[in-house]
Amino acid sequence: MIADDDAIIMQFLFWVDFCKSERAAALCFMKYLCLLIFFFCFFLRANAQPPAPAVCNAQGSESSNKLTVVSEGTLNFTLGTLNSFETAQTYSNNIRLNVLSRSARYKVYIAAELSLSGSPSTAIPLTNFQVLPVLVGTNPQNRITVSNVNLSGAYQQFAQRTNATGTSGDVFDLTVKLSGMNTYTQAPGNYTLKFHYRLCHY
Amino acid sequence: MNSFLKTIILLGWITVIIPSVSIAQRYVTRSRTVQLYKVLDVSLSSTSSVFDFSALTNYENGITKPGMITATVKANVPWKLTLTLGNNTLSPQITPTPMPASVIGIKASTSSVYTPVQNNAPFFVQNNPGLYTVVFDLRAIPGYQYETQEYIGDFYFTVSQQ
Repeated sequence: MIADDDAIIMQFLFWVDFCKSERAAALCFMKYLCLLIFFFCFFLRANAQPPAPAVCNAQGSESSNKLTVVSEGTLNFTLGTLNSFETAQTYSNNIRLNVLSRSARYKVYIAAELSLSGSPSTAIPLTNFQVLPVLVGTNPQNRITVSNVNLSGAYQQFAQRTNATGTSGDVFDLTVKLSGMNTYTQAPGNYTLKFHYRLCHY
Repeated sequence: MNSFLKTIILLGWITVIIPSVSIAQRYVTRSRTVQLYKVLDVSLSSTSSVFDFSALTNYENGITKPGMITATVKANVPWKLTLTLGNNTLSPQITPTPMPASVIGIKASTSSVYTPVQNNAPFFVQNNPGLYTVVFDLRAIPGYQYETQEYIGDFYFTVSQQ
């Protein structure tokens, strides 16, 4: 207990010394603490994830079991003409993912968030976005299945492998399709569509 | 002092390590921008464009054409569809008694009151963003005071943001 008290006193004395007066030290300490809390909350928010799938194990080291975005195509999905609202817009092979899962069989999930500054009354439904994954290359064991998903805020499985991968992992190309915009109920603006990918062992 | 510095360093390390772990390994987050531009579009269709006054009752009661014009509006902003005319008087304007376009009335089929067609107080309908099919009823009551003639008028439907 005495040691704890001493530590607190020492900490305060550090701030007194650092900030040149007791009052300034208190203010200085509070500011620094607020700054730390702010950055901590910012990073937590920036990296907020949807709730994990029901079964989502993490076996082995992260260097041998990881998701990597290999490449990304068009960063902007643009609806600039009447026709682009009337017909589905397809961004082919827009995202390439590498899945390395050396320790166990895996499932890969995707979820999304959509936001627009100014909080419009009607946002684009996430289900208007469809992700169509394709396995790149051949898989001699035929142990990989892929499935199309309409995006939602919750993780949905789009790929599964029934055994562990080799050292190079599996590569998937994701095509993103946007449709259902011909209702014209979504406000114009620049929306941010955030994709969350998740690798789970099962 | 050392323990306090360790605390600060630990907090800093946590704030740095959390995002790097999330980006690199078992889950990844990437963002796209979806750009929606402003859309305002109107297209028209009509069942007929002629009021044919060939019977006495036409002059007595006028001619009503329910659903004569249908406008399809596509707009992702609050919109206003306004009807204006090439001229307040129907062509030809050189007859002894030029016929004003206001002998023609228009209303949305959901409404009960006809509005005379004229530029001074243009007829309009408006609504929230979306895809709409608006059906218009038209009625012409010229009476007996105009010369026998084929009269023509140009109607302009313009959609704009409210």
